[in-house]
Amino acid sequence: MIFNSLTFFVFLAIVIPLYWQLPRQPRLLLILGAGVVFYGFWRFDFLLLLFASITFDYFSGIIIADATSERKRRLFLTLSVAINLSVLVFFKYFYFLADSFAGLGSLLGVEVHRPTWNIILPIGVSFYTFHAMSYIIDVYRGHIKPVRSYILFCNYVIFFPQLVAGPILRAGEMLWQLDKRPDFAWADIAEGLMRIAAGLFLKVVIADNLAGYVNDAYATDPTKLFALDTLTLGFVFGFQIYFDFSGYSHIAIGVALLMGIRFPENFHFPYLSVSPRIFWRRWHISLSSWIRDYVYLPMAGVKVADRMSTGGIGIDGTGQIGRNSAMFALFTTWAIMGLWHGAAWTFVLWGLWHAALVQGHRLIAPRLAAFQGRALAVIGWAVTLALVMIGWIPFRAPSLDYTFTVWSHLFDVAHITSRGLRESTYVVAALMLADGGSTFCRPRARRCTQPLAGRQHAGAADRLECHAHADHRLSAADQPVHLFPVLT
Amino acid sequence: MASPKAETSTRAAAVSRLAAPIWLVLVSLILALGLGYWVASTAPDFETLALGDATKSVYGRYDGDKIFCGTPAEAPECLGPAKARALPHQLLWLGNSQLHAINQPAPSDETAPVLLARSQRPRGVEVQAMSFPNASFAEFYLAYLLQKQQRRIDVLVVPLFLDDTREGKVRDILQPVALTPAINTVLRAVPAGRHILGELPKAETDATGAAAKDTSLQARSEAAITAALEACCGFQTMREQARGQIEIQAYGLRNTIFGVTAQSIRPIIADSYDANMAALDAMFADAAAAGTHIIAYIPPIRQDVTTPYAPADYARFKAETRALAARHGAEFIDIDAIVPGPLWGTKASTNLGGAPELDFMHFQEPGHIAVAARIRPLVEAATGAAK
Repeated sequence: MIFNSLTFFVFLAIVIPLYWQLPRQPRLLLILGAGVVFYGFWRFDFLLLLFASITFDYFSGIIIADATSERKRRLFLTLSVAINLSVLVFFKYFYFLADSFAGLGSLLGVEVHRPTWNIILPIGVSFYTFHAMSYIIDVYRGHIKPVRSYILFCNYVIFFPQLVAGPILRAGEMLWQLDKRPDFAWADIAEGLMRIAAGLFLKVVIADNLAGYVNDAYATDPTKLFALDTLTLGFVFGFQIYFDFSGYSHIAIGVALLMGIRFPENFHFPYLSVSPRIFWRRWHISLSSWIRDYVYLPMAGVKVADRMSTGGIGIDGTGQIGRNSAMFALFTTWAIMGLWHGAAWTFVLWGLWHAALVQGHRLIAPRLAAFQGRALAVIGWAVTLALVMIGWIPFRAPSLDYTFTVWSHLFDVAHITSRGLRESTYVVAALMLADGGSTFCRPRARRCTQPLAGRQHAGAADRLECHAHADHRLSAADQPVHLFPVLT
Repeated sequence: MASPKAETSTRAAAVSRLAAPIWLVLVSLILALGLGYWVASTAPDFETLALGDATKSVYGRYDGDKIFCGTPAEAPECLGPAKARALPHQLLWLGNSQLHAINQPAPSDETAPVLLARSQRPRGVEVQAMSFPNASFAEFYLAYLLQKQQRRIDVLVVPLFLDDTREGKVRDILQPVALTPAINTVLRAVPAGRHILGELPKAETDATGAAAKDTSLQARSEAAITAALEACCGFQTMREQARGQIEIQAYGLRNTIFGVTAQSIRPIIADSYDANMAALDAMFADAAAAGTHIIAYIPPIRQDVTTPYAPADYARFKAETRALAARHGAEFIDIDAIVPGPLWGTKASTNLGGAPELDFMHFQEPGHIAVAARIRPLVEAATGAAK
């Protein structure tokens, strides 16, 4: 079921009142049933895969917690992670791997036949496998106790507001909320409805209408574009994906709030970041936090403390990690992050681009430390925004060839003002940029902290975000983050 | 334990915290519903927006027969009588709204194709036209292939508007044409055709039945709920009307902000231009191979004011279309100056609340007479002696 559908609102109108009326056990069954129906509206047959994965992880968690030998704990951890990854790799990356091997074979002069199976990608598989893996790893690390109630564990994985598009939540921040229903509060209902409305606006009104411009722009022959077009392609898609994804996150957070359950924030003004590091504390926070705790830190050899899906992955400095291992971990982590988003080399390139930005920032930051002031912030914002937006091109591009062709136009200074796209595409990108710029120029302390009426001159997106962030003003992402002191 | 006074004060604070969001939600909801109803209850008038108050889509009939065949669905009505007559010469005139619209029309006014039919049917020439507002050359190509499937085409008349090279998408009513097996095969055989197919929405690209219909429970339930709401309250109609109204307002807002008017220069969009020229090339090649006589013309544009084309772009377009026509043995005439300024009108403002703007596309009936008069001798020469 998709959030921006009439069906979903009929579904909500049935589920939410029942949720608040039922006692614990029937309520847990209701959430489970709601998750099954929500997922089944896409396809019921793939629920078997979902439940097989849930069941295995449920028992693995108990076995790992109860095991007396480290070997057994490690065995079940490995088995569980391997099975989850196998599901993900088979359904999401099979064709990618097969094509890559075929391409490699062809380079080496060996003919490799690509199987022609009809593999359907299960909706939400990237999210629910990460959910399950984080649970198993947290149990293994001793950060949480295993869930003994099968239904409760099912609810953690299949809880419908986050099932198909996140945020990626940790067992530690979800299970207690599911287990013991929070007290009913009209304020939560009102806030939830506002966040749903804000999310729908961002998704349906802004992102879906931007999609038409984006599709047209990316269908253009890349050889007929120029430097200004490269920037426009980046900006227009960057805004589309932001409003689309953050809109969906707002809806997920709002729906959970209708049940009194609080999800952590997933986006926090990422395009106002003044460095790549800060961007990654504000963009898809739950995923980047997941990657931080389960990929980057272990790979860099850092012991992970008990963490929640907050804070993002604004990796800075190398601290006690060896410079080389930090760089290896950084680039590998971001390549994985890229691949998580899609099974193509273009996504890997997107990830590596961001690794390069973070690494570049690591190198430059100490030299800039002596400088302070507003001008530096503005320059940092403008440069970060441009680089992040240019980085979106491979994310949306049909191929690496397309990406490199488009990127190469940035160096074509002879045609700096030439244009190859429709006028409206530039207009839309400029309007979005103006909105972002006007938001950035607002005094930082006043942003999101004033009553709505006081923010009437802020950008539309800012107002919506602030509106939605009523209780999360200048939250974790803006504070000094000491998530892993050895790194910061 | 909290005192009753403290408890009351806490409750008052809670009620006060609650009042703000609920008040806001209610007011927003009422405003949104009111605005939505107001917007959605009026059908958007795209024709008036495009043509202005003074210009009307006339199309026209001759001797009771439909001369314009606007959609594939109309084919039986417009082609049936022609097939029954089986005249020796079959002519197809393609075009955009210039062909079917007249500025300040009188009831008796006729469009150029009807005027041509009046002069040519007695000579044994069956004149039929197919025109769409803002048609692209890619759409001309599809319209031509559609007509060619239905009947022989001896003479093909094609206006070459620079404006039309800026159009990219194939409109909904023509997308199924590309899926017709015979036409799909023709399209797949040439790069321009493959490009057109590649630009269609995904489900429309495959002629082998892969036009996957979404049969998921989500799609079916959404359809059922939408149908129920439409039956009860015209929900779907209102939704589409609202979308149309918003599009019109957004278009006006864009033009207002950036000072775009009907006289603003419309630059060539390289990718769209090349794709359209390739489609034109493919159409001419196909027609020439089939022995069709092609008459290509640069259509009238208002000359007594600054035109909305960059002179260099327009000159390049004329030169390239002339060369393309020559390559396929087509006749090429440039009649862009034959309609005098006073025969052109105005159209509604493209800005929000602005004054009427000059119309560079549509003219009064004498303009149609002039165009028909310039095409007529070429047709007569191509079709030989009278019947």
